[in-house]
Amino acid sequence: MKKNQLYILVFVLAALNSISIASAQEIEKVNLGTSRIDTTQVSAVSTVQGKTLESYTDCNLSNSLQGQLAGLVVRSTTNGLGNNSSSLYVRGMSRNGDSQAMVILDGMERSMDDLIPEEVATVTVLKDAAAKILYGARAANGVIIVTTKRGHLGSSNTWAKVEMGVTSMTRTPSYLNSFDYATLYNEARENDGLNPYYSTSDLDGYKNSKGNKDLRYPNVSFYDDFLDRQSSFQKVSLGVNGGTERTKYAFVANYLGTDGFEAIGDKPTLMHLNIRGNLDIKINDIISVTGDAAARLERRKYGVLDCGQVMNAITSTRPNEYPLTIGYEDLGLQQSTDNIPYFGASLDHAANLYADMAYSGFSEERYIKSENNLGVFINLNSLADGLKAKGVISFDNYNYLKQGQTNTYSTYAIQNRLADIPTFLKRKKTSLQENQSIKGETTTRSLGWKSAVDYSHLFADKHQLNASMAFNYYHREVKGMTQDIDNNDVSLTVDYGYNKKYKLLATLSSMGSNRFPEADDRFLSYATGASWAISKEAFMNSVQWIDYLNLKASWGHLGYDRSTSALLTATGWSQGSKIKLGEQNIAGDYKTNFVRIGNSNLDWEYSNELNVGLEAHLFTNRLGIDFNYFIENRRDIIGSLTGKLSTMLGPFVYSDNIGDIRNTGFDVHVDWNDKIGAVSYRLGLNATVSKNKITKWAEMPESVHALNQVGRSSTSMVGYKAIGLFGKDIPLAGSDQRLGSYQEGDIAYADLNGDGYVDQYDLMEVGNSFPTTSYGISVELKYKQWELYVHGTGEMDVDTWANNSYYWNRSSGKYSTLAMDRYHPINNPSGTMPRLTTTNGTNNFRNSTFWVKDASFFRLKNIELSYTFDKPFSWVNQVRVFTRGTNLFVLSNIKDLDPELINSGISNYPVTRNLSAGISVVF
Amino acid sequence: MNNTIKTNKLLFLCSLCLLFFASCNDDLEDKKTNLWDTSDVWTISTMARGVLNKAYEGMPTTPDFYGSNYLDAATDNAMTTIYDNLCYRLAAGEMTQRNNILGVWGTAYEKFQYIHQFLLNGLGDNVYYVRGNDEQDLAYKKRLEGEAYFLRAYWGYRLLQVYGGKTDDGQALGYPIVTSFLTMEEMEHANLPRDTYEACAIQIMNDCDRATELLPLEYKGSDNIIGLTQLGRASALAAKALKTQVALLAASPAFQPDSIVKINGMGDYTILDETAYKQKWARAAAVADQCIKTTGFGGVYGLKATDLADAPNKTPSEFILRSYFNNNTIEKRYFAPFYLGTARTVPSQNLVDAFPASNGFPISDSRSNYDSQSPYINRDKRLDLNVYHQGSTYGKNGLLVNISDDGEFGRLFSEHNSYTGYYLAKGISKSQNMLDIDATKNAIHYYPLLRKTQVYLAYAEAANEAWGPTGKTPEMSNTAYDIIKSLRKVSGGITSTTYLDEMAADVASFRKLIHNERRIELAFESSRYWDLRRWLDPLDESVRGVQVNLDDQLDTVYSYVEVAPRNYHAIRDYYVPLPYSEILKMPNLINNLGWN
Repeated sequence: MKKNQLYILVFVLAALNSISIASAQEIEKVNLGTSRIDTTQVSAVSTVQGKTLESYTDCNLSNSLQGQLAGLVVRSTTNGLGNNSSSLYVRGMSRNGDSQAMVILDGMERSMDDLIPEEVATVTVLKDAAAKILYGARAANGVIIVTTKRGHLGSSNTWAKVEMGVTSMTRTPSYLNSFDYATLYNEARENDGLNPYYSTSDLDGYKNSKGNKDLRYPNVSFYDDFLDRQSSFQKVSLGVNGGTERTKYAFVANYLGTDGFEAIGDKPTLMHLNIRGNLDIKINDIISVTGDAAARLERRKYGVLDCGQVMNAITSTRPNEYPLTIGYEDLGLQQSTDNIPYFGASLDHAANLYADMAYSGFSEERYIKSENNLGVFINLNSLADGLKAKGVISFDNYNYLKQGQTNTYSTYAIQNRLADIPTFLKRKKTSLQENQSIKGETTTRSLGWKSAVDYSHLFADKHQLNASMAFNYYHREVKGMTQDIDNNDVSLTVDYGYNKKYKLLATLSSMGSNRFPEADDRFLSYATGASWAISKEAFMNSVQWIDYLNLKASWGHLGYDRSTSALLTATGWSQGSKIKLGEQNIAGDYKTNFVRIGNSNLDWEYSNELNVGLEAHLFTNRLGIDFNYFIENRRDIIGSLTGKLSTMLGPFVYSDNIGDIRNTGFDVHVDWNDKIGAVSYRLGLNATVSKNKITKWAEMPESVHALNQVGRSSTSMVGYKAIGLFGKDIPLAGSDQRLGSYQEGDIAYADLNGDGYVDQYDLMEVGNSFPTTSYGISVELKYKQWELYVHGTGEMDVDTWANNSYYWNRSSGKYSTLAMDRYHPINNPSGTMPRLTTTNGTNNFRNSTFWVKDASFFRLKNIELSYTFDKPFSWVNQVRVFTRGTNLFVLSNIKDLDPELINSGISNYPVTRNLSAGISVVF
Repeated sequence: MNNTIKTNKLLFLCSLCLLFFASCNDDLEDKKTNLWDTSDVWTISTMARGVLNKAYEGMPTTPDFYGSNYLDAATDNAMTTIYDNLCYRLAAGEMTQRNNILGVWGTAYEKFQYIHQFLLNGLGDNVYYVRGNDEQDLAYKKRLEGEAYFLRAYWGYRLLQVYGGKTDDGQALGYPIVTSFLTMEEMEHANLPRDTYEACAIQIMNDCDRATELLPLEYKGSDNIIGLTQLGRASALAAKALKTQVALLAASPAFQPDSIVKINGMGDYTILDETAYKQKWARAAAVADQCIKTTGFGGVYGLKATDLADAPNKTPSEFILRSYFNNNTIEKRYFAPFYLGTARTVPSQNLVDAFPASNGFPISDSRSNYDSQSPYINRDKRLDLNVYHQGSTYGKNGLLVNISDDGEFGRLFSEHNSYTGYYLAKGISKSQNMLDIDATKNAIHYYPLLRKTQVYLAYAEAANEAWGPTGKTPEMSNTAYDIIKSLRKVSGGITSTTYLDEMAADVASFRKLIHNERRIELAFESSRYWDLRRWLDPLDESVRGVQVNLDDQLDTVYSYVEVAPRNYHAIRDYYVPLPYSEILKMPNLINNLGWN
């Protein structure tokens, strides 16, 4: 049988090594042909096996990628139940604004987030131009290729897995109780020259508060009263995999269910169902077909308020704002027969969180997503040896629907705060909505088409020639007026290898985009690369400790349209609202808005990229190293010219190619595996180091560096330099600060330009919000049937603004426990926080070094311990029991909140920790 | 046999190529959008008109359009405790070169662009506003052209009001006058200078004159083009009234070059060229007189509470250009917290003190019979129109206002309760329970952008400066004295002229009186902030408030405290800085005095 050398699957370097390095054209995993280890490499690519991700149970696949791949920076997000998918950056920020990588799932751009690791074969990151060029005009930020498992030859193999666990909160903010709050609020009033708001009898009342239902002196600890610290999740999955020469199949089904933290009312629930079937059929020696179908269902139920709204209410409502409920006797009403209590409110605050969570109805969101691929593969060996053709069509549908019902129950506020006997004012009226209504609907469709003709041949046992001509088409549409995304590209790749020692590769791609008018809708991208396997040279034969050493370099020029808005080249107007005319505004006349001037000379944004790398396997393949250095020059970023042109033009300005950004750095992967006695182990480290700099932007030069974009990183943070607190560290007399009124206890800033006062010309760079370095460390141990996996992730050289409501205690907001640490010359002379104020404190609460925190951290992200029974019964091949944990601890300078996600637990759910146990069986 | 194989191969290859290239055909089309091409805009009348209508957008439609607050809250008339509000920030001295809180530059020039697009394309034969009737079409175009000039004048006026000012070298400058559409090409290397204040004033007044010629005097009757259904558009009367405001600005001491008026310090200036100075005032008076002489203009009007809120369906005759709104937005913002508002702007003691006694004497004059134990009785009736104070009935039949520490309107009742002890009444509905959840109601409101009293006040101020309190030229129909007398009578309920006569003895004391009349008549109409500046009056008088306590005999004792500073201590606070980004791009733009 002839060796097929196209569509080659790519590989794992060492037995336990989950990371492998593949060459560009070999990434797409279509299982025609046999596999081989290709040792001559040109591109910068990293791969992780789906199996490695299985130990991290999460609703979002992207979260499991953090710290797994050299060159991939995964930044977590704060969001509600199961919604916190990560942002993915390949080699950092290659531009300002949207720099996220493109995700290709089984050949087409798709989200990976609701996949489960069990259905994933590999996740591969394409980092350099020679690899990315094959993915069209949306790929320049980097590509993440996810391929799902396909059937393999051999007897049918069925597996099932059950996992159950608890999710618990990690760090959460703490807040003052009513008494402390009222005491400090009085201090804030006094600081502002006002008389105390709470009388001594009020304070006594709060001190002796009967809790969250105390009519006059409520003390509601929202975090404890409204949230549970724990919730649970269950995951059940099963799969079948197998095949014959003619037919191969892989089937996976999965259920994942989890609850939210809300303790009042119906707990939010999230239910995920995944089904996937991948089928390969060999019709005859010439034609094979594949058919993949996947469907995912999600159903999410919660109250009227979503997680974010609940969390915001919890972290912003003061403890003494209102009593949760009021007795009917107090209100002078009859006892309700439906057991629904009467709710408290205040004159300022009509809503009652207890009513909203417990009795206000429900929301339900559901979506169905279907993803399908159909492929035809034609073996044309009969025409020419090594010739193949293929065509794959992909089509997806996504339907989303949100339904809900909202009920409002009356709330009552005390109308006469100062009187002895309370009277009440109704703040909300009972209104029970009988019908459910549709609150939102989305439909999205995608269509993809790929075809390719490939040729591969080894001449005279030495000259390996591969060539491929490919066409890709991608179309995505959303119901409504949003413009479709339409892209296509035709590419030609030729690579030549000599004796597996030298390799040359060149790709030419004509990329098409509907972001540009017909005359300019194609961009010619090209990339070229070469590699040299030094270890294959005769002179290296004597160097025993080097098993493999390969040098590589690639350079490319890639068009990019993913961040280009539609229709920028078209001049257009739109009809606006009406001006109001006539007595009582009975008449009206439309306004016409100017939308934009089309710029017919608009050019494509593009990237020029250089990659230089080294791969080595040393000490009898025990040490693996893959190192890549890169320079990315993003050019012609599209934006508005308003920074350069007078605002007198109004909207009559077009967008143009206004900016350049240079991003440089390196990524590295080091891997060591060995055995000590019966223990085999593997240690892995991967890291990505990057830093970008804006080199061109449409702006006028300013006298102060920090006021310009050019010369700074796109993620640099700008603020004032805090030098202490007035009265405590810096004398108030003689200061001149023009950032809002200030007094003793307020933040003093440095007059950086030395003009005698502090104003906007004293701004400077105070930090960087994107990590220069992000890394992952993993350890695997195997002893007999025991296996231990430990994975840690971290970021270095990264800062964050500590500017959420936990840090900024001011005006009539809720006070966190940090307020206790405020400076006050008598009450708290050693305090480190600015004085309290009932105003907005414009002088203090603005970006400055005072609020910059070093957000570097190391997190023990994942740990798994398992024991495997081989052939415990005749009908069972393998049973594996495991226990897992995620987010077990985090080390950082930031101690009270999560350093990676400083707003978690405030604007939305806290960072969570999972502890679970499970069993998997292979039949 | 071999041939067959070859043919097969060929066929196969062909079909393969077909498969490949069939898929290559470009399918990179855009979805149809609801965007209009320029050619459509200038042939479809609704769209063409719409380009001009766009210039109405951004004109104030509520009295509190300065960041949902009254601009008076940035003066000694009132205050706000909405700390992120622009009025609060202004008064706290947060205006900087890079952060122009009152900026209108971009908005105004954007409107110029729309207006000039319309003048260029919207009046030709390419578009019919009335198809099939050339006469009516011409009438329509005439009105539209008039509106265009009015709108250009209006936005020029706003630019002049905000950015006009003196420079370090003693010039009085306005803004760069633009009379045609600006293209990117010409702006790429443009370095426009500011035109002189006088040139800007003349440009705006000329636009007002052209608008006056083209527009109907008022919108009334059933005509489709100039009838009542078009009420709310610019009218000839509005153009005349706007012209008076511009002429008044242009005559004011703050906007004269050093050769005419020199500033010595806050509240202190010297007139160097009396003749030139008086000429400008005489022009302002003449412009106002022209407007007053318009047929049907009517006499001096006494503003009633029901002209502004809880108003009738028909626009009061006092209002020349107004907006109408039927809702409770204003009430939510300015009702006392007890009635579920948030009291965003509250009047000051300073303003309350400015209302004379009902016999016409200021309360500082002993003849006013002012009683510090009952300070609110026997006062100019405009006091109650503007302000709720201790002892007022809130709304139609609400609680008596009690601002003491145990009262519902006092400082301890709600964090939002007034710091000054007063609540805003002007322009707010009297249905005090209208925000109650069980009885939520709306009220009809009018907000006058231009009203006739402004024209009278402009005349009085200018005539006094030009010819003295009782002087005039033969062409003029009134003296300053006549107008102030009628205004105090119909609006303030002051019939006695003893004090008025006393003040009419000289220009300076009558000026003071007129300034005070303007303050109390136009309170909460965004006038005070600009008036103080154009008069070069001191700006840094702190806002005071009142506190009420009971003494041993249980008598009410009023005490007065400073509650908010007005951080305008420098000469530069008379002027507003130009947008720093524009100066970076066009260094020919000289910034205002003290803002470099």
